[in-house]
Amino acid sequence: MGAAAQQSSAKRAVWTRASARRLVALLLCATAPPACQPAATAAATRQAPGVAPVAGAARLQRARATLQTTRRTLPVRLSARFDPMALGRRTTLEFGFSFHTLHGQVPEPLTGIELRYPSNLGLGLSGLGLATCEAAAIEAAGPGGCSPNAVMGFGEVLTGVVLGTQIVNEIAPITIMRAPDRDGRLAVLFYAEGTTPVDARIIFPGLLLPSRGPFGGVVNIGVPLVETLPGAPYVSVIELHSTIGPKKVVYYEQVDGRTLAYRPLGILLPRRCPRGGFRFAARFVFSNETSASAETAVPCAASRVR
Amino acid sequence: MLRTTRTVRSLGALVGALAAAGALAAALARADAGATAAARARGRAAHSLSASDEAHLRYVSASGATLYETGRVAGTLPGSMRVHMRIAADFSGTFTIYAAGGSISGHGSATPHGAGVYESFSGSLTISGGKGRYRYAHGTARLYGTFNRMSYALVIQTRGTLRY
Repeated sequence: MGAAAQQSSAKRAVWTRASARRLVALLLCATAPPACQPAATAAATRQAPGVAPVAGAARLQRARATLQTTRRTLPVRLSARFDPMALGRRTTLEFGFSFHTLHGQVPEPLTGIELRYPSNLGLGLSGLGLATCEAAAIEAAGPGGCSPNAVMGFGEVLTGVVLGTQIVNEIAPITIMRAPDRDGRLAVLFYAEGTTPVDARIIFPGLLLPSRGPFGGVVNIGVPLVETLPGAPYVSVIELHSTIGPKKVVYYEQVDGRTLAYRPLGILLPRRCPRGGFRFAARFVFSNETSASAETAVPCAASRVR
Repeated sequence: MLRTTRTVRSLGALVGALAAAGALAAALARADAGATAAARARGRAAHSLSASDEAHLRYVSASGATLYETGRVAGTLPGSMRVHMRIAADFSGTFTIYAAGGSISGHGSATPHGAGVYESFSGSLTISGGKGRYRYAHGTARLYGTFNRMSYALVIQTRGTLRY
């Protein structure tokens, strides 16, 4: 993902005055604990527009220094499972990753993910993503601005930003939606909506591409850099968990003039277990141009077609 | 001695005759082989057909990303068709068309486009062989189609040249 595109994506973070105030308060608490009294916090909040950049500038330099220590290859854990796990049956894929950093640190901001999934995984036969959703529609009204038949899964992301000596975390729910094809390829959108302390709506695009064996395809995800405060570090992704499948997904169809709700079929697993199980691999690219990789495999256990 | 000489001469003649016969046989064999090869080549290139067909396929079974479908083919080579198609980031698969006098087999791949219940795709296929009158079938064709993501029904149109 190019720098210009990242900047453009970064602008998609929608800020509210309230969230900025919360963040400034947290910043002051983190960098000047004695000042972190209810009265002082309230005063700082009132002065937020003028005070924040000045008060934070020098301290944020230290925050940057903390980030730079993560230049080495970052340990990352990739997880995947099917629910239910039964060969030849329909299922929901649950996947996630988490970065392991030293205490008091966060990973470099993430700029890209390549997630490879097993061959012969019936994603295209899942009945998911029958409608598409434009980024502009989500930006304007969230997932509610799109057809529910575009939803492909749900999840949540844990983010963090170093402010002074403190890491401010945020958990944001994620909705995965089918988007109109891009460059002739199947596209998806990841929509993350944070509320506290940062009220931000982030959209990051994914593209489904072919992959060499033993993988069936790769989802290329561009992660935008999310600004916090002027001069402050970008938000770092620490952990993400999500699903792709019918779990908690409801679609609607018109039958004889009536609207009927139904659950999409789900990802079809093959009848035979691939050698070594269902293998997944991921590569993560960070803003400092370093990368980290991880692999995992879902064992088939004793499941058989019934 | 004379007899011996005769014998030697006769043996020599026999060896010569045998050698000549062998050479002739070898020559004949080569000629025959050449003729057969030529005949095969003529046979393979005997028919060239500009074919345009449309297949309507129905879902039979699926495992993972692979669909097994059967259906009817209409057009230049009417008959029935069986397809194993892998629905992934790209579509790919193998097919057999059962036409009058034999069958035609091959493989193909396509890139899907669009979204919604109906997904269109386009690509190419290669005919790699067959049975019966199409046992030497070969050729290439463009393929276009639609895939119903609800019913898994496939409509495949092919346009190309078949040589057999």
